[in-house]
Amino acid sequence: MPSSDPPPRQAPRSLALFKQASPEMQSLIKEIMAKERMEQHKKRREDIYQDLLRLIREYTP
Amino acid sequence: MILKKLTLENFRQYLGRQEIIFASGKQKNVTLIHGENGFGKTCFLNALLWGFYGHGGFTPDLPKPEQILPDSIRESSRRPEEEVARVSIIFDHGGETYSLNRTTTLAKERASKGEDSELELSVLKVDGQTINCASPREAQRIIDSILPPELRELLFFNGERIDHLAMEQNAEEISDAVRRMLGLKLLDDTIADLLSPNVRNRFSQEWRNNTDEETAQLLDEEQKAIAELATKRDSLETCKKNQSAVDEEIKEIDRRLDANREARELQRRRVTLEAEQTEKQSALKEQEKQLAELIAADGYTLFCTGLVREGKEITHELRAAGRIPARVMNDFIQDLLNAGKCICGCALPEGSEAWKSVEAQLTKAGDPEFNNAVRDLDRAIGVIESTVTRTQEALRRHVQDRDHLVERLRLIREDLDEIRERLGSKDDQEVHQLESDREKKQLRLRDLDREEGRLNTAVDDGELKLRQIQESLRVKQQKGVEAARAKRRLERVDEVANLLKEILASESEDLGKELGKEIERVFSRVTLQDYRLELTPEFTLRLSKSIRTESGLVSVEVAHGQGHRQVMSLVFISSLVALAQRRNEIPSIMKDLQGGDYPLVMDSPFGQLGEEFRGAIAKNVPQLAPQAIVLVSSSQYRGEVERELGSSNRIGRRYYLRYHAPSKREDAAGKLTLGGSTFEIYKKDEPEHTEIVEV
Repeated sequence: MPSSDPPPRQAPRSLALFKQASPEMQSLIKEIMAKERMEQHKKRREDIYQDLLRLIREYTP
Repeated sequence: MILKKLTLENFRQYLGRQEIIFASGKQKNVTLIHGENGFGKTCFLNALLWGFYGHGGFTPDLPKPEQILPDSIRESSRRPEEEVARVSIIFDHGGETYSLNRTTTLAKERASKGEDSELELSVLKVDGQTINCASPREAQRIIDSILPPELRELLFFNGERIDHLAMEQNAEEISDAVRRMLGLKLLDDTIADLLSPNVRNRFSQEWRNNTDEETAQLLDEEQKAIAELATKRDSLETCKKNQSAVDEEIKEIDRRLDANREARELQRRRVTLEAEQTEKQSALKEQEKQLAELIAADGYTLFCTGLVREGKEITHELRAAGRIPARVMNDFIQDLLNAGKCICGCALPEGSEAWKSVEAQLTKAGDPEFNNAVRDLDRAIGVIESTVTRTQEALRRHVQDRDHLVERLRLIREDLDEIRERLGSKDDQEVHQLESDREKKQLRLRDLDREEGRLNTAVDDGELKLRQIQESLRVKQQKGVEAARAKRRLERVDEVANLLKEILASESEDLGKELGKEIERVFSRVTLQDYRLELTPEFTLRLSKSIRTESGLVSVEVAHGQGHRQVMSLVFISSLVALAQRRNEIPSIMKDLQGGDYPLVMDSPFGQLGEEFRGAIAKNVPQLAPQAIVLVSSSQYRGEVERELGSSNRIGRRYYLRYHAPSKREDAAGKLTLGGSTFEIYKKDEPEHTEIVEV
């Protein structure tokens, strides 16, 4: 298999990108994704906006 | 999700209480339901959809969607609030068993035009505990998370109406389905939320309120640039959609020309030539790119021949003078003088004749640095000389290949012009008209291509402008605490969004490739070998065939009719379901992505299929998804379909729909014959209704 065309399971580029970020950044992204996942099927987007604002403030005092 | 049981109670033509248990084994995973047209196949499919999503889940082809209860009850009931319609579904998901009940009454149906219903959901957990959902809203949220409504069309479909998935103008729908089923939609939503006015702009505003006038002005400019860029991107998107639409219209004209006996031969020649033209154009582009790379990397050597000559003359002179290569190094002579002893063993007292004689050699011996420099020059001359030869040869080859391509393209263009003229001058009115329409559409396409180029440049300019403003903002030092904090927060939002965009792009690309491979694999199982189905990077499906031309084999896109499109759509859905099933094996930053087992519920999947595909699709139905529920009429369940499915040993449950009515419909069969046994599928009875009978 040429290196320019790696199968995703062997070379998860997205995970590599994520791991290049600082631990703090990784933790923030994990929390943001968890919130988004929880709110995914709710009709009110306002809840998720509030969560995101709060998380960014917490991680950037 | 694996469906276990469906119970219907007074749902449209399913009068009274009836239930059906679905085949859910690993081996025997197919449930076959035989039903003649008008006997309730579509209604059955819609019963499942109503159970999961209520009124909003109905397929567009369901007649009178506002009527949930059977006509006989509607017409005779005196207590509408006591007349209940119910759909109950039991299904397994993630090791747990879910039981849902959706009910409505005739009174509610009348008051809400069928839109109002009650949903209850209970979950039997792995530990044996049963949990009841607190509210219908919570129940719906859970259902939607297990079986997102966007996937409804892909998993529960009328086979005769799914061909639209294979049309280019529906690429967005396909792309959405892929993103939703593979979990990418979550990343899309997160990025959109972060950059929405409700989040990003809030921090931008906070910064603006606490900063100096100059920074505030820059922030305003940034907002303006973001809005302008969004408008430009929208225009580009619209332009691309228009291109796809016109392209599809041209393909439709091509299909009609192909169907016309007068035009067929020329049209087929044109399709082959156009495919070759596309291939040659991209080869020419590649050729020019390589040529540019060659010139950028080694082109300078072609201008160095004078310098090379001069260098060679210098080294030649040095060699002739015996300066290089130096036989003895002067640091060696110096060492002998310092030691006061020659290598022959004689003493070299300082100032002696012998000492002076050795010292005189210092002027003749070589300086190592000079020696090295000359050696490097020698080597460089050699490298440049060979590069010059290589570059000249490569350049000659590239130019020759490019000239061949240009010449072939010119000939193709001439042939195409000739075909256009010959088709345009045909006496056949239809051909004449189609050709004239085709020409207009091609001109329109050319306009749109120019428009796309212009918009691409505008978007690039917009991006550059925004980057410049953001760079100016980034270097702004903020004195106030509030302003500095708001700035950091705004930067944080951008940092997170940008990283997520990169992750999304990489996951989309990887999963797109995986899906493409899956599509090619599934398609090769269900079709003839000389066809090939690919997923393009734009998520459109391309059906092609290899054709031999003057310049070798060319992959030609096949003009596909409804039957082909139906196969393409089925293959696409099946591949997506297969990939979703092993989604959890593919590493992702999105935790807890479950491998989704999805059932396929197919109404009339063999409807419009050509003979060449019917058998192959029937043979592969059990492998299309972990669970397949197939509704077929006797006109579809014949020949190869019956042979392949019947002998597959994968049918776990089989039912037929028996129609009760005062008189049989003229076009409907009264009997169903399966494997030598005959079943009465019509019963003279009142009121009119459908009964589910297990075979």
